[in-house]
Amino acid sequence: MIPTAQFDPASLALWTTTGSLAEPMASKVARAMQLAASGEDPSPSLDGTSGAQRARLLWLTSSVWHEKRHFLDTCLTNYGARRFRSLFNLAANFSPLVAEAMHRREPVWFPVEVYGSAVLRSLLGISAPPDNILGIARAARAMKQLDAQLDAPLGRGEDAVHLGGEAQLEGLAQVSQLHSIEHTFGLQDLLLATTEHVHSLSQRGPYRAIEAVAGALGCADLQGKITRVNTGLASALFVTALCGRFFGLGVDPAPADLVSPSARLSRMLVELGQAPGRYAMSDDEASALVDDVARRLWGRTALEEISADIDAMESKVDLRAAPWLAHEGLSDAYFDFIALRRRVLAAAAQDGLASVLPRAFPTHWRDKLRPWHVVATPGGDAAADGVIVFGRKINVPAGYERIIPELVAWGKLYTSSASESGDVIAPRDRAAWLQMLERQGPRAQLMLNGRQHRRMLAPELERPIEETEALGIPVRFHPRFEWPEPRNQEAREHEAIALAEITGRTRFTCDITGEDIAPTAAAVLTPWEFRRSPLLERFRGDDGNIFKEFQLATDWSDWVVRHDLLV
Amino acid sequence: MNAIDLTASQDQIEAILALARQHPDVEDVSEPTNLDASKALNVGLPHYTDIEAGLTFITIVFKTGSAGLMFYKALRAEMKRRNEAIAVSDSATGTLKGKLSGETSDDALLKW
Repeated sequence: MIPTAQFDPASLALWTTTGSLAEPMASKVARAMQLAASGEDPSPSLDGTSGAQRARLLWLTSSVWHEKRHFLDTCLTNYGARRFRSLFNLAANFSPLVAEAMHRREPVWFPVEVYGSAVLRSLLGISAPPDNILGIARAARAMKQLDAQLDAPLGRGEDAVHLGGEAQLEGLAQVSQLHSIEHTFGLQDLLLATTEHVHSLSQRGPYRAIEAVAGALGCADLQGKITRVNTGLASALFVTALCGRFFGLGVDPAPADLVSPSARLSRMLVELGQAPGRYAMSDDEASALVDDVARRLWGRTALEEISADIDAMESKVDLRAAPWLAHEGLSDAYFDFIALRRRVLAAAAQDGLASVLPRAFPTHWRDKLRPWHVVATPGGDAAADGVIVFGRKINVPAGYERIIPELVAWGKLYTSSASESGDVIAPRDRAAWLQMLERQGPRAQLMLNGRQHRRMLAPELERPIEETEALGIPVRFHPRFEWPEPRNQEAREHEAIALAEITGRTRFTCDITGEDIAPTAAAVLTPWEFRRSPLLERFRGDDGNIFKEFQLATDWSDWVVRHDLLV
Repeated sequence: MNAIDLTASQDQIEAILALARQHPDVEDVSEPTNLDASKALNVGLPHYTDIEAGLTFITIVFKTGSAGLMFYKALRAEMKRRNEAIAVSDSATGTLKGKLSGETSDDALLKW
């Protein structure tokens, strides 16, 4: 299932789509998301709704605020900024890799780490690369290994609790989303969204493990059959845990408790002792407690660590050593990101750690944050209005000009006219970030994992592939990274239930047979899964239908099919 | 070249590497490659399960075409001891051959 909202740390872009929703819900949600993204009140869009339908609309609308929290934490926390830097480094090394392939008249291979393995090179027929390419490959591999360690859950299998870096970001975003719902829609709507949606998420998973930490800290209160949880202290610990000392770590794959979010969290929990919190604890008190612990353990509070990290980003990276970065917009994006981090830190420093906790998110941050907003239409949009960032011109055959559009858009950029004003927190160098969005971000993804990503728009990764091939350089992939990892039948059927749940549908129409089917009799195929399945030929038939070919070229939405067609 | 990919958790991979590096039929072993998918951050959706994270694969090259069987049997014993399973894929195409657990039959191993 294509997610409805996503944050991309490479381009600082918030992505939304309503492509999987039916009308009139799709238009209602699109309008509400647009308002939430531009810092306006989306509540009138939900007027006249109630029950399960209102719960769905609340969740989808507030998902924009969830992603805005990711934008804040990417700019603010050292772990978040490292995610940007990792992708930046990969994008920065794309051109040297392609130039080397051109020089050697050989294909270019993704992910780049395959160049660093003699076994994989021998298997794939890649000749021994020069030292600079080996260096890029080894750095990429080490970076992925470190990412895996930083994000690893505690424990194994079903006992695992998700408290790694990414899970801590999700915990902060989830709680910020809930505080935002309460702030804008009120307590009753918060209870509705919590009952209908939050309670169906795993308690050990990334979105809710923060509740377990809050409980262990003594910040829960049992009222009859209901347990109320104050996540303030847990959030202060998460923010501080995410502010490790990454700079200077290089590619060392063994993060200590100075660096790793889960190790830092564990260390602080031990230092705090048993149940140091209480349900009625204020965010100011929680923040003072955590600042004190952090200074005792590592000599710096979270905000002091952030300040040092930003200084290191500025002083320790010499982009002049790579002059091509200036031509490709990368240098400008890097320095604009540093400037953005400084503005965010200055705003946070005014009121201290408590001001960046989820309770303060709706009042201090939410409506000032303006990441780039990309509205995705995976099914293709023929309207030529707006700033198209992902799309394709169609070579329309003679005679079909009035039926097939000349241009199909998959992603349009929306930014508020206020994005340059003083009070707003947003990236400012539009040209540089457009490069990151359209070109450098997708390049980084190819370098990292080839095409093996589950993006909102599958064609997003095709542009750098096509541009490279246009230079006469064949693009090749390690077979495990040529396509998104295929899922089993059980996962595809499970996803049909999830799709029905979030869209409020009780029936689907099979995209192959046209039959009306229940969600329990359906399966969801991602666009690449469908194109790589036997159903592709069945869809095409043998009549050379031009409209079907047009659909295959332009429609990158999920396919819903009768589940037994795949068995 | 006769080679397979073994996909498993980090913990399993370490055990497999130890086994493979001392097995007489194994010619070479790659370093582990992380298979994690997109790093985009999504909102939590009810009943939606994202692709399993934390999986890693290694490529094992055998000395001869028929050398894999003894290694598969040693691996099966290890999986039986741990009561776990791992995925076996064709290195050249990435196609899944099957799951290897303590219960995998000799016939299945012979087909790989």
